[in-house]
Amino acid sequence: MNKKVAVIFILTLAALGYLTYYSFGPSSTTHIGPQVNPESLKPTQTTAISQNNETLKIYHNKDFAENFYAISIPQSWQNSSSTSRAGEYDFNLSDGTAKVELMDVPDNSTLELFVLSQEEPKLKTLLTGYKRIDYQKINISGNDAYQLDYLSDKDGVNYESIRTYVTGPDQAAVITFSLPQISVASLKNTFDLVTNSFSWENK
Amino acid sequence: MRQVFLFVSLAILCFGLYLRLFYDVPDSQEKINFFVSWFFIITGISSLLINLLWDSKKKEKNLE
Repeated sequence: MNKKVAVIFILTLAALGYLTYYSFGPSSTTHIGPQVNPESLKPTQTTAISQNNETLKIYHNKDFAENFYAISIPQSWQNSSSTSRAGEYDFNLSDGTAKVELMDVPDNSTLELFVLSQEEPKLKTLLTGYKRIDYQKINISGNDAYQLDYLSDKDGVNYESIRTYVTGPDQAAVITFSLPQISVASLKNTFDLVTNSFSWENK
Repeated sequence: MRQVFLFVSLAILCFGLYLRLFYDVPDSQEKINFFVSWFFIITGISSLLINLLWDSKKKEKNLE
């Protein structure tokens, strides 16, 4: 065999070996796929809301070029987004959690169809004691949105979750609040305030 | 036969470049897309080189 051909063959095998390590090795998550933009983690403004006696911080997410968005979050909610994926925020409430994320919806589906045919069945299989309470179409900053309100059982406690899917220019945004059912009523106004503050920034 | 090999090499390389540059990758499949696209690009380039080198060796023999 030609020596040069043998060298190229060996180099190719080495390159493919390195590619496999780089793609699936222990540090692959830090360099493949979209990265969190440090600007996204810094709230830019604060707004005092007298109605709920709550101060809001506005987060501007700039992780995905076509999916910049802004959302107002109460200052008292603890941001635990350091371990989040790009386009995502996680917040700890006193007895629950809140999450904002981006979701890729297939081009051959509408958001409503996707929610009812893919998302809800997935929730049914993932969560123990899933039970739908309400489903409604709403409007958030001029965008069609679909709100799913459901119950699930976690360690013997009834949890209520309000999950809102907002139609976007490229991906959809999903805002989820989850906490024990008995605590939901007291925070419902705050949840509505946060959900309605959502807006796309590059639409 | 050599032309078929060259065509297949080019097709592999082009498919790899398409996956790398133009394919709309679903959120959860970025890793696999990264791996497959680079796999095709590396394989395509090396098979093109092998094809060209084998070609030059045959030419040298013909000249002799």
